[in-house]
Amino acid sequence: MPSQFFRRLRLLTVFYKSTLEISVPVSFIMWPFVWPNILLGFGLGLMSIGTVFSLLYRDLTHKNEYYFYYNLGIPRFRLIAFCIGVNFLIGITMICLFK
Amino acid sequence: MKNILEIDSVAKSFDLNKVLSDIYLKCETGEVIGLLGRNGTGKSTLLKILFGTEKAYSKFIRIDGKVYDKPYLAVNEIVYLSQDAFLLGHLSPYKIIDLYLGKEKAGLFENDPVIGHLLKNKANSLSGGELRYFEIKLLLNMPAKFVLLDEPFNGIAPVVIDVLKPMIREHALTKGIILTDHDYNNVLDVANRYCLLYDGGIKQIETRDDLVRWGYLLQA
Repeated sequence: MPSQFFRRLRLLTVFYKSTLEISVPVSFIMWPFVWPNILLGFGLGLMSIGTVFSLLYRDLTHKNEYYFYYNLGIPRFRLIAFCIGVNFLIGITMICLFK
Repeated sequence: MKNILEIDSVAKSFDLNKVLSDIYLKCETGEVIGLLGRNGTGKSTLLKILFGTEKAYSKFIRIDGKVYDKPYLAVNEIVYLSQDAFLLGHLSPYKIIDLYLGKEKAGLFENDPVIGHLLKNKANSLSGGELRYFEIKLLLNMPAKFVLLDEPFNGIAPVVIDVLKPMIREHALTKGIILTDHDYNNVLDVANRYCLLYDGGIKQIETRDDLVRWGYLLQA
């Protein structure tokens, strides 16, 4: 059903946005250790260390919030896969644009 | 329409400590089952197994005859109030209502005596009791057939509990509800069937004397 699809997409987006508070600062701080160019370093950092840190942070500090999504039928692996997928797409796009 | 939730052959251990063994529990629309038990008897674990987020050595869950491994993945079958707050604190109750029930259901909350005036604030600015009340009301208004409430009265003022109890009974007309709480007086008041988890199994409770017999109360 389209309405169900868009509802789930909204929820996945809510989860993704909640990971940005960690993934963006971590990727920004770590860019010099990832690549000498700031934009490429940030993109690569977001794909790797930023994603890992933000998901670990959520698991350690906001684990119970997964029930927010479970009650709407969304499993944890789908939330994580969506987050990894979006960050991967953003990272690849930045690499393609700024390499 | 009457819906039936059944859980059978549940076995769960933590290390060598067997918590649940060969549990059978059935809940139908119209029932409010009060699940009692001392600390560590596996009440919350059983609810999580029933919801599908806790693994078990064995389990068999059926809703209306259909077998589920993880019932929470099925749309509109079952919802669960966890012991700790699960709502996203950075969202407003309005936004949460929109995500859970749709904007058109916001009216159910706008005139609410407990949280009606707080809907535009962020959820993390609500007190623990207000948040708990909001979580319960939200889940009860979802179109799920069954609602599992783990310690719903924890941290809620008595006057608000008196608002909650009739709300739970009203929603039980169209749903099956299983709740557990250490505030057994409120559980006995709101439920219409009682069970006690004891020594890994479930005992049916008919009177307060049964609670004394199984060591849950010192006197009736």
